[in-house]
Amino acid sequence: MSTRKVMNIKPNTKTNIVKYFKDLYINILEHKYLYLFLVPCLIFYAVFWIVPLYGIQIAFKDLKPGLGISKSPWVGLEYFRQFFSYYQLGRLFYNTIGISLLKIVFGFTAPIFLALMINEIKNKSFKKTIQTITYLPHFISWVIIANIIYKLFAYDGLANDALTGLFGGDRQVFMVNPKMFWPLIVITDVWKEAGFGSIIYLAAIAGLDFEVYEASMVDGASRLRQIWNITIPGILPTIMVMFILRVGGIMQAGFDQIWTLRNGAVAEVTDVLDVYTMIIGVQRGQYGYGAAVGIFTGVISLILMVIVNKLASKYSETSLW
Amino acid sequence: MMKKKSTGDRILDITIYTALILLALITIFPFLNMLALSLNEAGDSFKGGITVFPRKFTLANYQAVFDGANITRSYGVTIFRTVIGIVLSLIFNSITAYTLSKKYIKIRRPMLLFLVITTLFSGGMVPFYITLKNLHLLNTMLVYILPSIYNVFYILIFRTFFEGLPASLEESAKIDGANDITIMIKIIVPISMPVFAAIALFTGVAHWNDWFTGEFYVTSSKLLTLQNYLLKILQENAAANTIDSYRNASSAHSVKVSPESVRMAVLMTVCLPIMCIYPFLQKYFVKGVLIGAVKG
Repeated sequence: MSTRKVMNIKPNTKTNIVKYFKDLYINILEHKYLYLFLVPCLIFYAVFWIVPLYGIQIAFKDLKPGLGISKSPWVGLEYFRQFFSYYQLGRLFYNTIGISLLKIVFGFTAPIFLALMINEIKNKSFKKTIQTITYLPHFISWVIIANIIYKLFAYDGLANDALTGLFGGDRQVFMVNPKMFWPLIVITDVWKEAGFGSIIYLAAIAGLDFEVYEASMVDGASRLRQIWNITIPGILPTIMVMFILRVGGIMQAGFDQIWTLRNGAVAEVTDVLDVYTMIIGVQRGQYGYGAAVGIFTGVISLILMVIVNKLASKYSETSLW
Repeated sequence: MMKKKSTGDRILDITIYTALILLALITIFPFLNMLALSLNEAGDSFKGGITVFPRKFTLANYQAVFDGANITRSYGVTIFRTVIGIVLSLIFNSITAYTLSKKYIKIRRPMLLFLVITTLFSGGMVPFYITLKNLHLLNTMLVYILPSIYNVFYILIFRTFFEGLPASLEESAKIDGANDITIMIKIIVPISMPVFAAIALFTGVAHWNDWFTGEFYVTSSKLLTLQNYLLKILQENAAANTIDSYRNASSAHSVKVSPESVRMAVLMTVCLPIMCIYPFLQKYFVKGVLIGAVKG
């Protein structure tokens, strides 16, 4: 309890702190095994969360292998300066934000439509089947999906069979065609995640007041009218929250998907910030620089989240905090 | 209260049913196609046109999968990390959650707050990598297991469950002189099987599907998981295979097994365990998403 002497605080607070630790000590003695249960957890988070947090400073340091993190010399904002003068910075941003925006337009709206459709189904077992099937791809890793996609869209793949069969023309090499890659990323993202994403909206719909629907039925409202006038306004708060989260994640264009799907031939359209961070910071060992790019991305995400949250609370009375 | 459907409502029904059936078919088709290709003779698959049924049925691809020493090793690594990962996650997340479910534990609230904060931000990928490097965890089996033992989300699920258990269970055991460890093993675990099963499924799927760890923290080919094995093949052939497999077609007519068809078989064997447990998993995941949404 040496902290008591160091801290120059009001006597009242001081005695409170002393009392707290005394109580804690008694509490620990009384439930020693329960406290023991927490020890590995604390060690874990100290090692795998606090230590990396402390390691953020490498973004401002010239990390020398012999010296370690704390003794390496400071370089200030050197890495940030390097990053901002990186000749392909524009392309990184263009790709990241472009893919993210497309995913918001399609990937964000698709689960809402899906939930609205699933909700209209009265046949229980049909509903269950549709849900089971559409949730499934979420549980399969992008590695597997990427393997399947490469097979389907190969030169001799089924996509080519179908397209040349229906429309004629020459076979395409989809996976190495930069023009095809963004649509491919967006479509496969919707294909994989739309089903699972609909869960949250289905739950929101299930929480809506049933009596409002009955009243509108008496008034002779059609089902389409009900969807438009009752269901959609009802789940709007959920939609807003999901939207805020989406916009906050705009700097992440979907690392798992892009990393597994990309190849050298389409690098120019798939170099996004996350991918760049991993290549430069981990695979090429430019730790300080990579950490700086990581910090930059994180800070932008946070700012975006705050702005969108503000706007949302101003115009629609929903917000995250 | 049945009412006669108006024409508008009937059109809506037809549209929705058609759209959803189409959607389900589109979702399931790639998997069926993969299954068909894995069960078809390689030489015949080269000709293209296989959709959901194999044309020349064979199990040779699956035999080839288990003949390859590398793949067998990858199965070993994957199964090992999944099993050990599940066991450790269950033990450590549950004991933490058990303590945090007790209102009389003084540091309960600050500890919960701390755990939630760890999910909100982190040091980022590069500092995390350096931490693993300094701990000499890179290129070891441990890197697959240690960093993913704890998960705040699992702790919260466990805690919610434990809070719902009657306090009398614990009290009567304490009167009999049992300590908390005995209570945990003898009383809490047996009656908490549903939540243990749910978390086992969560962690199992996460371990089975994880390719990130192997891609960035492991370079030794001896420690390749199935996911990383598949990713490696994909990266090696990515640009090339789209054209080359077609060129090779004419020379491969009589072949039963090719690297391509074996890959399809490997893919199937990696997917199958998930597809088998998925129906049991689904309801837990739905619940999980909703709990996560409420907490977030």
